[in-house]
Amino acid sequence: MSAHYFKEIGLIPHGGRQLFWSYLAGLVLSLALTLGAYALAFGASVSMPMLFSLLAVLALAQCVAQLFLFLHLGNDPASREKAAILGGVAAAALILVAGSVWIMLSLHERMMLPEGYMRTYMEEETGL
Amino acid sequence: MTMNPDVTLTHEERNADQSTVLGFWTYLMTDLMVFASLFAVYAVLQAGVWNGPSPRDLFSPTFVLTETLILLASSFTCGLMFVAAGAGRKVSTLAALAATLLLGGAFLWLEVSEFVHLATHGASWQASAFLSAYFTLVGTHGLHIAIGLLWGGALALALWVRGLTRSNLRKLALFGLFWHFLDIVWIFIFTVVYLMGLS
Repeated sequence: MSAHYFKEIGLIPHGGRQLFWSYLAGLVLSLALTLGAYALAFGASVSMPMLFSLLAVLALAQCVAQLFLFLHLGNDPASREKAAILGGVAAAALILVAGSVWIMLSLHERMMLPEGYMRTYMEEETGL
Repeated sequence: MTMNPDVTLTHEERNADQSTVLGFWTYLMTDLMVFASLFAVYAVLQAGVWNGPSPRDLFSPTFVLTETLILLASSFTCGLMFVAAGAGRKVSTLAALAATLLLGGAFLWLEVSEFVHLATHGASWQASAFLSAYFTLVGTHGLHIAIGLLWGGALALALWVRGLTRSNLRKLALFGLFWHFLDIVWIFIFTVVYLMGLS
């Protein structure tokens, strides 16, 4: 049977009814997290850093929910292989994004120094 | 209608198809790096509006929420496709695939209409660093959706003609991974570009 096929190739851990409930749970959870983030962004009055952190947490939660309930990452051998690759790539992606933002913000701050200060800084640091 | 086709695999066939799925997953991870690079570019350039329009002047929250819910619904119907195919129901599989493609088409239509609206109202990709980064990031996602629609259309034809064969089930599996992946990428576009840009 073809449910067996998807199991055999490591796409899904279960077949039949459980599979349907997994998708339904994924839909309901994603819907709740999406609407929650939307309400938070346009309804709640929290400080900017707090809001951005909360939105990031909600996005990550929805990402994890979909990885488990739509893409069926679980505890089977096929899932562990996929999760290992995902973990490595996600770490590289995080370094890329956070590193770029860090470097560019730092550069921006240094470029914003007053002109006189910049001259003194360059004389001190490089002997210009 | 094909009822419960017996797809029994030899050991070699099973290994081959497992490798195909894992290989496709690895491709998706390289695609994840592409999106991560574009997110990094967007994060760095989003403040560079250069006296032009900022996200707040351009995007409508309800419009973006509609797009997001449509794409989420398509990810769900994509899952129903596996439920139907797993039960050996060809017509239901085709119906779920058609629903996925229709919802995906609606999403792409909204996105393209927004791009056209922006480009014809002085907010094209040349207007500022922010808009260049915006069109590149969101446009790359849209391009993936467009390719997914073509792929899904070809898959529907193959399913219609040959039914739930091993080859078609394997293609279905890869298409499903691709489609769910695109919805996950959209969560971050929705959050970073729209929610954070508008609030």
